[in-house]
Amino acid sequence: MEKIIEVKALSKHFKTKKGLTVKAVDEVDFFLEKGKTLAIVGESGSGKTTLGKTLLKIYEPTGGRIYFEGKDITNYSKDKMKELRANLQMVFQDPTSSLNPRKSIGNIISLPLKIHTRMTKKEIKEKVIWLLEQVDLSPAFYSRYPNALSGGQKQRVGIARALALNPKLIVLDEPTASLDVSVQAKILTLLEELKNRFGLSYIYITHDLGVVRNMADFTLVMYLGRVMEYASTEELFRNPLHPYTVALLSSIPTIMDEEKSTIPYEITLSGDIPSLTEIPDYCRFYSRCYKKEKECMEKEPELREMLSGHWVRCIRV
Amino acid sequence: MKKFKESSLYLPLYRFFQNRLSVVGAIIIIVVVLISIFAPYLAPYPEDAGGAIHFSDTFQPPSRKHLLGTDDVGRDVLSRILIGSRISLLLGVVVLTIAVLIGIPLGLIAGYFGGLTEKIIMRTTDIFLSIPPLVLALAVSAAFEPNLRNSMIAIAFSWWPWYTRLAYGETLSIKEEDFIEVAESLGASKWYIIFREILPNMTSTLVVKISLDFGYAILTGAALGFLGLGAQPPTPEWGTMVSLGREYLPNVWWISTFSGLAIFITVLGFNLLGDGLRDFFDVEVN
Repeated sequence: MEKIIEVKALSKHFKTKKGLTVKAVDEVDFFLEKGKTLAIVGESGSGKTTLGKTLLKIYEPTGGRIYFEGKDITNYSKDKMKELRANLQMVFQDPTSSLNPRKSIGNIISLPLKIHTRMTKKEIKEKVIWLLEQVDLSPAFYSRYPNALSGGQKQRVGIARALALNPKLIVLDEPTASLDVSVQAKILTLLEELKNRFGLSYIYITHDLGVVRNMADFTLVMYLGRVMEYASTEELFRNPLHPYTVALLSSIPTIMDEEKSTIPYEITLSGDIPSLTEIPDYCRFYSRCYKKEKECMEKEPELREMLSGHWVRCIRV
Repeated sequence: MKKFKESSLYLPLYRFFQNRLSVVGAIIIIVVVLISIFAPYLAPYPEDAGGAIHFSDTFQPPSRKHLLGTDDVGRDVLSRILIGSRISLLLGVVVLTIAVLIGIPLGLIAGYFGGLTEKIIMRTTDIFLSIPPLVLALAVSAAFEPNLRNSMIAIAFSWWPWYTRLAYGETLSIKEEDFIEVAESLGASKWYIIFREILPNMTSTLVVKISLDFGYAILTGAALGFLGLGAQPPTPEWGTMVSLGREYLPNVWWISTFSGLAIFITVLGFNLLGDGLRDFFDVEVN
C-alpha cells in the first residue's frame, strides 16, 4: 500500500481581530492510499474546506505535518510548493467564483500550463482542447466566457483546469453543492471516470453523506475542526458509532433499508453548530448530543480505534 | 440580424438604446468630438481662434455674417467656440489619463497588498480627498504660472485620489473571489494577479466613472479659466471666454451666453452618457 498523502496532527488556527483563536482545523490525522477516495464530511462550519486548503498548503498550517508521497512538505516554501503544485490540485465549490468572468475558457484553462510548462502557444491550445474533451465539453468552449456557461459546464471547466498539469491528488471541495440534482449526478460520474482514466486520488469534501456512499472508499467525519469518526465508507454506513455520524446518516432521505436498521430512530440534531470560538474543553458535541451523560463533561474524549481501522471520538461507545 | 440577436451583446445594447437620454448623451459627445476634429474646416474664421484683431467688427450681435456675434476685438464667437472644443476635450483626456494612471495602480496595490502599504496609500488619498478639488486645483494653479498646461496638472493632481478609492474598493471585493486563490496557488506572480486577474474585472466600473468625470473635469477647467487661473487669453478656452464676456454684460450678452452654453451642453452630454453606461454595465459608482 502506497500512501499518497498523510497528515499528522494537522492544525490551522486563525486569530480574529479581537484576539480570539479560531481552531478551524485541530489536530487532524488521516492518510489516503493512492488511487482511493477519502470523503471529509461535516456540516458547514466544521472546518472541512479549511482542512482541504491547508493540506494543499493553500493555507499555511499552524501545526502538525503533511506528507505527500512520503515527503514532509509542511515547511515547503512558496517556490518549492510551486514545483509540487502540479501534483496537488483543487476544484472549488462555487464555479462562478473560481472562474475569472473576464477571461475566456481557453485562457482560464491555459493558466496552469503557462506558469508551469514551457509549451508553445500552439501546444497549449491543443492541450486545452484535449482537456475540454476529457470533461465532455466541445472545443467551441475555448473562446467562450464563463457567463455564457451553465453551472455544470463551469464546473467542468474548473475540473479541466485542475487536470491540466496531470495531478496525482485532487481536493474536490463540494464540487456539486451549487448545481442542480440532475447535473450533480453527471459531474459525479465524470469525476469517477476521470479518476479511473488518470489514476487520480481524491479528497472529497461534502456535507452530503448520500453522495459519499457511492464515491468514497474512506470517510472522515468532522465536527468543529476535529475528527469525530474515521472508517472505510462501507464500515461507517454499516456500523456508525459516533452519535454525530448516526445523526448525519439518519438525515439522508435516500438511505437504504438495510442501513436504516443501524439507526435506532430518526434523529434530528437540535440547534446549529456552535461557534468555533466557543469550543468547550469537554466533548465538543455535548451541546447537541442525544446520548450525553455527565461523564461527557469531564474531558475531551480521545480518538480511539474501536474496531480495526474504525476510529471514534466518543466515550459512550 | 438573427445572429446578432443571439449574441451576448444584444441585450445590453438594447438596454442602452431603450434609455433615450443616454442616446442623446452619446450623440452630443459624438458631435462634439467630430467638431473638435474638423474645427479648422468648420469654423468660418479659423484665424479668430488666436490673437486676431478686427477693430471694425467689435461687439457685433449675432448676424448672418457672424452667427454668434463677435467679441471685444472683433473675433467671431462661433469660430472660437468650435475651435475651443479641442481645448476642453484635451483637458478632459489629459486630466483623466493622469488621474487613472496614478490612481488605479495605487488603489490596486493598496487593496491587494494590504498592511502598511495600504495604510500609507489610503491615508495619503484621505488627505487629498479632504480638500475640495477646486480649492486644491486653485492652490496648485496659483502657485505656478497660470496657463492651460498647469491647470491640467492642477486638476489631475486633485483628481487621482478618487480613482485610488475606486480601484481600492473594487480590489478588496475582487480579491476574495476563488479565481484569485487559484492563481495564487498556481504560483502566478503578484503583478499578473493585480493587472491580469483583478484589473479587467473593474473595467466597466472604470468606464462609467471616466465618462461621468469627463464632464466634471471640463467644468473644473472652465472654472479655473473663468477665475483667470487656467488658460489665458487669447486661447479660446470656454471658461476664459465666459469670464471675458462677463465684463460687457448685459448689453453684449452673446459672448458669455454662447460659451456658457457650449460648456453646458458638453458637460450634460458626458453626464447623460455616463448615466446610460452605468445602467448598461449595471455597476455602482460612488
